[in-house]
Amino acid sequence: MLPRMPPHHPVLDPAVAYPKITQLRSVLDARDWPAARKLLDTAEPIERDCLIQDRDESAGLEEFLRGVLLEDPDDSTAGALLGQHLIHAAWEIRTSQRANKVSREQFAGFRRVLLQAEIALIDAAARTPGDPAIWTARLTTARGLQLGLSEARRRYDRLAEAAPHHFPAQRQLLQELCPKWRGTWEKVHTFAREAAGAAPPGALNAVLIPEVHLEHWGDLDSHSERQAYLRSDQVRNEVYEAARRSVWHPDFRRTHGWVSVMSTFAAVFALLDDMPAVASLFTALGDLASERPWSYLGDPATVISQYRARALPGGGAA
Amino acid sequence: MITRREVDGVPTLLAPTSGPMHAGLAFRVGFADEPLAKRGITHLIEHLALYSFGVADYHYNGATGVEYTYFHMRGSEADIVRFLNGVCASLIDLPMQRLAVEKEILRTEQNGRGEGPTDGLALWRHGARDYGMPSYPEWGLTGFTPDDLRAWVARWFTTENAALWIAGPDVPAGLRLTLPRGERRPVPAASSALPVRPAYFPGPANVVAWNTVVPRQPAAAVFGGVLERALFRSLRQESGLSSTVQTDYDPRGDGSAVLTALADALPEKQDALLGGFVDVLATARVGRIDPAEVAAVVRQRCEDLVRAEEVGARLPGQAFNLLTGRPVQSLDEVLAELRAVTREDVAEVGRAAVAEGLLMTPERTTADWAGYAEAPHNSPKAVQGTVYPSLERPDWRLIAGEQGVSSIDGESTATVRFDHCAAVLVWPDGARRFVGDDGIQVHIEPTLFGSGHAVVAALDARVRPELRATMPARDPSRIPVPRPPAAPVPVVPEPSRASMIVLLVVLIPVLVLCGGFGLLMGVDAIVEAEDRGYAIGIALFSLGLAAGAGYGVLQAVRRLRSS
Repeated sequence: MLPRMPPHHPVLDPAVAYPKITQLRSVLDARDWPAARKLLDTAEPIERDCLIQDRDESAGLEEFLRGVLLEDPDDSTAGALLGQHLIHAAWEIRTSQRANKVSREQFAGFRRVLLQAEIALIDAAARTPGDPAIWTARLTTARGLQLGLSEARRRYDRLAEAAPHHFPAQRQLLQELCPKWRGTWEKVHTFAREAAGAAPPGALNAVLIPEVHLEHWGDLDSHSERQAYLRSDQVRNEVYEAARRSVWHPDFRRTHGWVSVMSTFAAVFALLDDMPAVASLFTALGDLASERPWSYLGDPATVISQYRARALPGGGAA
Repeated sequence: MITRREVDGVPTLLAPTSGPMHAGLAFRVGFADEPLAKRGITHLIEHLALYSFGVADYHYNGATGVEYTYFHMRGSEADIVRFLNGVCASLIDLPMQRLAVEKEILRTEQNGRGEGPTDGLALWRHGARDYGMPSYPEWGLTGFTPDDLRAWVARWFTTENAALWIAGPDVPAGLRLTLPRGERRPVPAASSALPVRPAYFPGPANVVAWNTVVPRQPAAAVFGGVLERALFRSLRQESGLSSTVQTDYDPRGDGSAVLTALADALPEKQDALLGGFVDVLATARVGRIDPAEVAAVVRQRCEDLVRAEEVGARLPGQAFNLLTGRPVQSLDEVLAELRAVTREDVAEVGRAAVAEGLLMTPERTTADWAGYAEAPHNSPKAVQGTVYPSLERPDWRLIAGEQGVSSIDGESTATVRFDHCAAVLVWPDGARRFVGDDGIQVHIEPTLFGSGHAVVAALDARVRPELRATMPARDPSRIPVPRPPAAPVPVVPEPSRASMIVLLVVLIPVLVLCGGFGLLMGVDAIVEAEDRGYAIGIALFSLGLAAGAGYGVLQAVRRLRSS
């Protein structure tokens, strides 16, 4: 007998949720810098940063961006794009394996390319210190180059002067503050609570709360410890409060990033076995979903389909 | 208004002052002129020349700097005449009976001073010669003889190599500057120990320092001020990292100027301090200079200069200009130059300054990630020669050859070639330290190498005698004795907590059962006469087992506690 096919195929490609990703890729493919600038300049700051972070692997992009910078060294959009492009290239060499699975040569190549990214970004930050996308990228390079927690914090603080609730950078700093990099659970929980609490109601930022709880949950050794952690009153209350401040808030808007924010809440509610909450989020998401955090639970498409089948017994067609 | 005069052949600058009369006699000699083996000789002469005024109630002093040494005093005309005439007389006939005591005073002064946070910069930039000298201790002190001092005075403390300044109405009557005749000595050419710049080297914890060499010009001084304000704003006001932020602008006699910057931070913030410092320098590198900052710094410097002119405080700097063949400038000329400095001039200096920079990073941190090259801290290769293995460690060896000496410790090689040797420190017990022109050192403890004393004798024969600097005898307890290389320690796996707990679970019942049974049998042996020998045997055997189990329990508990 054939194994039962998943009844539903979630759409994980962010380019479907956010059409500007495809638009940006095509204008960059066409080397149409004015069009790229127009697209990014008219985007909201968070959207702009996320678009800049999109992995564009097209060959020759680095040379193109360096050419743009040669013409206008103060073009911080080109600087940020070049930085993110090199960051992707560096992680491509390192792979996302745990450190003990990465070879010496891979680490050397990773560091070499990340240094190029950082040096381009130092220049861009010196010229345009108010561009949040530069600092988001510099939070990633600081982590990869192991420049220390206080330096990551300084970079975030410089960014926050210009953009106090810049969600993409908060996600980067959150990673650095986790014990797997250089932080502690206390530091990362505190940061998530402060950042979520300070953001305007309905903003995406409150997702930092379930994100940290998922990180913490994933770090625990046994199944029972994980269950006990997530189902403690404090954690449950914090997650529901965070949902009320963001995805369940009337001011919640489907701005760039909303799919991964809803997916994160859906995943945590699924682990809490609150199927009505999961169902409401799946319904709002339709076919859309993000790989993270579902990838923490297994193959994202399979896991999502399984939970959809449980949460939306009618087949869940949105 | 500065007027030029001459006193006994010494060029003299005279300017009125609003305060008490002040005069100084400067010589074009300083640390930068001292070979490493003679390090400290100028300072020692300065001390000896002032000895005779020791108990006088004068406001006088002497100072030995990198390029100049001067004697100055504030007081009445008669005081100044007595002081300067006396300094000249002392220089011609140094009080050699004081030599041993002054050496001791200088040694104490040096120990008390400790290392300043920016001391390392000169050494890493220039090596163990000319402008690197301020980094080095006064290693020559012990060995100086009266003849060494007389020869140094004859070379440097001469009429032709001197300049006088007087802040007061006129040259005091009776002033006689009787000095040996000689010639004007130019400043040394600055050496470089940095093949690639910008560069970095790791320094002490919790501090970042930086220096650079730029052409000497008003815009460079202004850049120093702008940089200090930028560092202060970023590191102190915005990030709250530093309590101290400071820059210095030191003009040099060769037409360049050294800019130095320094900032500190708490231990847990030193990474951010480095990052913030690098970002401020990057801002200068890309030429982002705020015209309002330039205007503020120019204004401040102009005010300082006007105040300095009033009390004659500009005179020493102008006298130094005389000694290096630079024009003596009036206040108006200096102010006009400063006011003409534009934002673009400062930006240009900033770009050049950062490109030539040397960054001292806190503790073990690096700055390669910011585009700074690692400054050389070891030698590219070892010399050819005889290899002497260490008596202590198999990965440490000494190579003595015709060309020089190398010490190889693991992967790091230090080589000093005899033709690029700045000094050899010589201890009476046989220890030697070879210091190369590039600042790299090879230290030899003859007790730690096979045939060590013979090697030292052979090396001594190859070194020019003037490079030897005698060190004071060491306390015998400080002369190292070789520890035999440690035999490989067999690795005994540490028992885990779990196995200790299992052991306890097994041993505690054995202790209780055997102990109880042994005691019972013991009692039995006492009350029952029958089979007494048998009962005693069983009791002893059981108690023995219990004792063994008890010992095991104790050990296991101890291990668990310490784990």
